[in-house]
Amino acid sequence: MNTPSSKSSPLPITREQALALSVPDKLAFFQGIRLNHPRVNQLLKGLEIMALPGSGTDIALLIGPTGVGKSTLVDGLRARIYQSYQQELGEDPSFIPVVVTEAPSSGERGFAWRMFYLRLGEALYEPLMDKKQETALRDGRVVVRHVASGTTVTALRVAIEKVLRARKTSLVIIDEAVHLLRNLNGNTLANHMDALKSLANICGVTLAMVGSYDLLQVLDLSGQVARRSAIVHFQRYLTGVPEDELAFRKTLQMLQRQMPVEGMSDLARYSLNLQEACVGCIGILKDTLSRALGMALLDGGRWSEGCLEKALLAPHQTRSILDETLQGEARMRSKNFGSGSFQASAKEFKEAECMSRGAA
Amino acid sequence: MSQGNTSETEFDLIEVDPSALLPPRSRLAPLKPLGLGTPYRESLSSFLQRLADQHGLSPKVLARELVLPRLGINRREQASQADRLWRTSFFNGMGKVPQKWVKILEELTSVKRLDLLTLLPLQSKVGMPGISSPTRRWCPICLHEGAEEGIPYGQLLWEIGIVTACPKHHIKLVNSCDCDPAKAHSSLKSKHLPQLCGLCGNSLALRPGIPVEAASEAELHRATLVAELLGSNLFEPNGCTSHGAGIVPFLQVAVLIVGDECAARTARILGVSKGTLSGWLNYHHLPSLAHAVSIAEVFKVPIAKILVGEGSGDFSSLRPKELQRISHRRRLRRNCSKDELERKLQEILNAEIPVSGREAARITGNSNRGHYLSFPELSRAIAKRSLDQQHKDAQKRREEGLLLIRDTAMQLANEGFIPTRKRLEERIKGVSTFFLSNERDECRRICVEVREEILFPKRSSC
Repeated sequence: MNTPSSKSSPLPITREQALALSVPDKLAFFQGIRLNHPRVNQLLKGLEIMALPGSGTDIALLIGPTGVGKSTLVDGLRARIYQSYQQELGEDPSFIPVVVTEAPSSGERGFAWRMFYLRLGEALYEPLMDKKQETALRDGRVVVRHVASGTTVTALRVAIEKVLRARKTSLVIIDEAVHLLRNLNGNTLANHMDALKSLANICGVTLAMVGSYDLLQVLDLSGQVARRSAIVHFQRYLTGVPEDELAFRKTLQMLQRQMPVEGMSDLARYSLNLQEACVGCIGILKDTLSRALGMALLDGGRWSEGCLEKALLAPHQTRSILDETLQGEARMRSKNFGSGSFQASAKEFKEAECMSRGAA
Repeated sequence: MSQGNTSETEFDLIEVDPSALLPPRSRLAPLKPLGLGTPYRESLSSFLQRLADQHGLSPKVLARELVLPRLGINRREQASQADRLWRTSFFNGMGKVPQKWVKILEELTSVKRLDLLTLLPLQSKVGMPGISSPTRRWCPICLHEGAEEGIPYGQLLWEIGIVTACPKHHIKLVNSCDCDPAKAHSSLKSKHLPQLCGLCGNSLALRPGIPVEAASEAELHRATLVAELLGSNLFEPNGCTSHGAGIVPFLQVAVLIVGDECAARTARILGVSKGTLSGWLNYHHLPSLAHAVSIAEVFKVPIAKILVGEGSGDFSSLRPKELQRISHRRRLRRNCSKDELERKLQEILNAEIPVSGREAARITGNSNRGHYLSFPELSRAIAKRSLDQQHKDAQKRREEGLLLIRDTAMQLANEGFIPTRKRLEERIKGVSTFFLSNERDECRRICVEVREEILFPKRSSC
């Protein structure tokens, strides 16, 4: 059997063992650290249910600020699904319950569907994606549409539909889904969403689109899209909320314990400052600690508080991320997305009715 | 500071890369073969075409990129062989090509027992020549029904040379689409599926332009027999495939019982030459499937039973034309009562020296056929005991012959002559030239051993 893009699992080495490695290896060791923290655990349960066949969700939007840890959450979801299907995976070597792909940003005008399908096919271990045939009916006869480029987007799409059904995939996760929204005009976004929704319907899969708050505009497209969609909001850890501050501090301590450098003071005293500087996002925190670690290692393995300060994002960068996050959170609050309460639904219904009566 | 509700267990390292939790996956998505367990099972070439279509590929590209490299065929040959091998008549047969392709396709798709889509279960039971049809054939009505159910496919039955009719719809198999070659697509535009013409792309299912002709009784009977074979245990996943003694025991009993121990008579009944029957009985070659069908037609026994060596118990209920002629000429004689005959046969069976069925008939004063019709079990036991004794005697004679050869070779060596077969022939009086030429390899081996032992011993190192 073939695993075209197989990754071998990282050797489980400890921090003490990592201390003996070279500088690049130490950095790679810390980069490879993945941490479960309360937000991740809360969201994983909900996502796992959404991924089940017959859950009533065609499209799930996993939304959160940049650097909050959405990709780590996706990894955790994948691991959980694989663990729960271990027996079926052993019995059926063709079964792939979940597949993750990244929406491409090729730099060309519009969304690169060809590249998207090629990547999705590769993730599904589908061979020879560049040689897929498109068939057409001409005068009652079946012919193959021969093209110089080897394959067409239609052929790729049909191949993807077939392989999703054959591999019994129930969840397709599209990371960086905001690339679908770039450089669009007119009804193009609606067309894109129709294409994805049709893929979900035909193949019986749930599509999970992962990205920033920009993805919310997908829900404004049509009632049909809104009806079969669900939102999973990956919130940052907020300052001023005691539980969030405690969770952030504990996460910081866990990460510090894994840093392969000696002589570190307890970073917990900087927890609040770091929480503000990293906008409450664990991903940004980890990147900051990685940069600090790099600086310390290049300085002969000597840690100092200066490394941490130098590793922080520039104020304007932090501001930019914060503004974007606040806007997104405001949209979430104003639209009552994810509230799931009768009050919110009733309020929305009354507002819509008043507007239509006013218009009439 | 408030403790909050977080616990230490909510913070843990994720130590395993999720990709490591996914065991190796099959290269191709699986495809369920159709018609398994029935006489109308799919053929391997149809499976390959549907598999390629499932993956949006042509069979040629699938073969060239995924199968042929695993066969060890080099890149230059791949292009020419890729589109040739799966279209050949032997692709669904019994040889090395279907064996290798079955193994590779099973690895690629993780679908088991793809050999049941070929004639591989008949390997070592029937001969290969002429087993496969040289041209593509199909039943338009079967394809039409398959299309209505959603998945038309090509049947293994259509790939067998002696089948010329559809046993389900009682029509002759069609081998031509009747399309205009001038309107044929280029090979790049041809779509290969079991229900489509590879030249024009038209459907091969029932439509005006596809001729449909009623099949004759003989064609239908043959097709039905072969269909029964494909639906038998031999083609079941848990049925006997390599087990079973083969057709020879059936033929041996046929010679004993029906031919009255006369191979020439049995050969006449079967419609083959004595040499052919002798070749079968001595395991020199296997009967073809066409011969197996003829044998099944003559004796009215299912082919599957013949091929595993069973089905010989029903001769008494048979009335092939030849047997009727014999039974007129040689009537059943019984010189004693049935009980006395049974007692005599029992005595013969328990006697110290085994005797043949003919000899037993001489002793009792009845015919061998009469013994079989009255007491088939006893008659069979007597014949088997006699055969076993004949084999033992043959083995003993062989061993004695080889011993004599060895002694003579040693004698020659002691006299200073290098033992050779010619010298052995001149010296040995008690062993026939026929034996010496049959046991040529043994002779040579003995001569070499004696030579090394006596004439050119190896010096032991001190």
